[in-house]
Amino acid sequence: MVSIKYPVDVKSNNDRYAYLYRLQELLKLEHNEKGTQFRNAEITKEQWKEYQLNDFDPKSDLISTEICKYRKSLKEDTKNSASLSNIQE
Amino acid sequence: MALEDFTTYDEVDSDGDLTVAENTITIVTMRQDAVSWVSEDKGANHFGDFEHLIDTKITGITNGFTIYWGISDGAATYGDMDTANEGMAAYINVYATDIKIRIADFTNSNNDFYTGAKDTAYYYKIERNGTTLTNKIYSDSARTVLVDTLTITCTNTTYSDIIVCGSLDLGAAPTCDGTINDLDLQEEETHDPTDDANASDSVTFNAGKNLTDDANASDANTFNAGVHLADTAKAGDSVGYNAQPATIEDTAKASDSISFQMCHAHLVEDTAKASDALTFEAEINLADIAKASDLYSDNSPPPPVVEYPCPTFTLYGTSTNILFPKPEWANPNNSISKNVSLFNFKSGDLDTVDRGINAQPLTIGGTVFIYDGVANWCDNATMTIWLDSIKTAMNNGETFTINELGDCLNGVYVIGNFTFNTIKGVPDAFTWTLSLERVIDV
Repeated sequence: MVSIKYPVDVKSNNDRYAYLYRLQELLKLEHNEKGTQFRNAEITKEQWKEYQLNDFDPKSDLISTEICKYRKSLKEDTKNSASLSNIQE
Repeated sequence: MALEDFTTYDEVDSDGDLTVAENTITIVTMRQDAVSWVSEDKGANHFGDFEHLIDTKITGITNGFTIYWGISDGAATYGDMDTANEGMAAYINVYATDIKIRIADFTNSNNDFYTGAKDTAYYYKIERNGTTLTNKIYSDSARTVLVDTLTITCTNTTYSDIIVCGSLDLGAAPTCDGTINDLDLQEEETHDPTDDANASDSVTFNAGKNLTDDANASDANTFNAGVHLADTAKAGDSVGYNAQPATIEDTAKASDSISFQMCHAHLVEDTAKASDALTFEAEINLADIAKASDLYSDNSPPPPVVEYPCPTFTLYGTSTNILFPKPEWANPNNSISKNVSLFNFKSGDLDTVDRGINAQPLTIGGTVFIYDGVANWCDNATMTIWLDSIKTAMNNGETFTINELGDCLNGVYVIGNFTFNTIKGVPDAFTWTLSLERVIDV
């Protein structure tokens, strides 16, 4: 079972939403580094599949779920003065 | 995993923009307002959680739109899904310089997108896990280079239809060109087992199969008599039969002698021949236990039944039986003639008429005495006491004295079980019997 440990200074929805997208980007980079190793035969196919199944996928699923959660909170946050009139052609 | 065959899918192509091959749909100038789609109904609630693979390459340079993956309960174009608030889709907005690769849930209107490039192949892994829908976008078919992950919160509604191409069905002129390829639903073909094997199951091999081969006389076989023979033994077979249903642990040898042990529970189907050298070992169970009080038999032949009248007869052992000849039924009133020699015991007649022959069957019992004369009983024996008198005396509890034992007599015999039986009107049923038991030797 994987879980996300947020730093003590990452408390607000905004901060955590941004934090999660950074984690997702870091995870993507790690994934692609593993993919490069696989293509270069530096790791075996079995090691590549094992990484995807037991490392990448659980972390990716968790990050996606957390992103959805904080995005929903941000969408419903009315503390700011967002207005469609602020969208300009 | 197997790729989906798009040629088996339902196709609607209002402007003739689609070319459907087995694993590829080619889109040529599909207008946004066209009503075009390719989909398949997989059955109600078929799509819950899943992981689907598909790829696209958008080649057109004009603005346009196409759904390249979607699930719904019938709606297949963006316009229909949006109107019905039904289903989920991954689709591409084509702009002048780039494309937007999106995922959306039409029920809650959540969506996410990635800005990609035209004339570029993208490979997707679209997953739903509960209420999270992700679309991982890769730049290679091996899906080792992750470009972006699109994520939305989705409903957990299950759907029946899979959509591999769908027009916007809204707006106007802008068109889309490109290909949609290689949809893999990654669904294992399932087989419903009728039973689950358990680790604790024992496996039984039934070795008791019938022999399909016929035994031949030349076969060197050992017969286990506990198994039914499917072949029929022939008179010419050289076989030793052990009729006991037990395993033969010894191997028969040519030098063995053969004996038949006859058990009554087994039928011998072969016919014994006079030339057979056989030893029969009769196995008889004793059903009774001999007692000290039992009369013994010395195995000597039983005494013959002596017919009367006879010139001579021999008394065997201590008793014998005499069968008197059947008298003739001479009178129509079922009486017996006194003249029948049967009743002439030398000294007088035995009158049976007075004993109520008409009340047949009649049995005279009791014990009477006669003197046995010398060897020729029929000529010399003397009936000293009338049978009728003896019977009367016995009934009175009197004592009899035998007075005439002497030189002419060699013993006293007791007549036991002196009976005659008749059945009225049936002459052949009239019989006399008595037994003589030597009680006094003279």
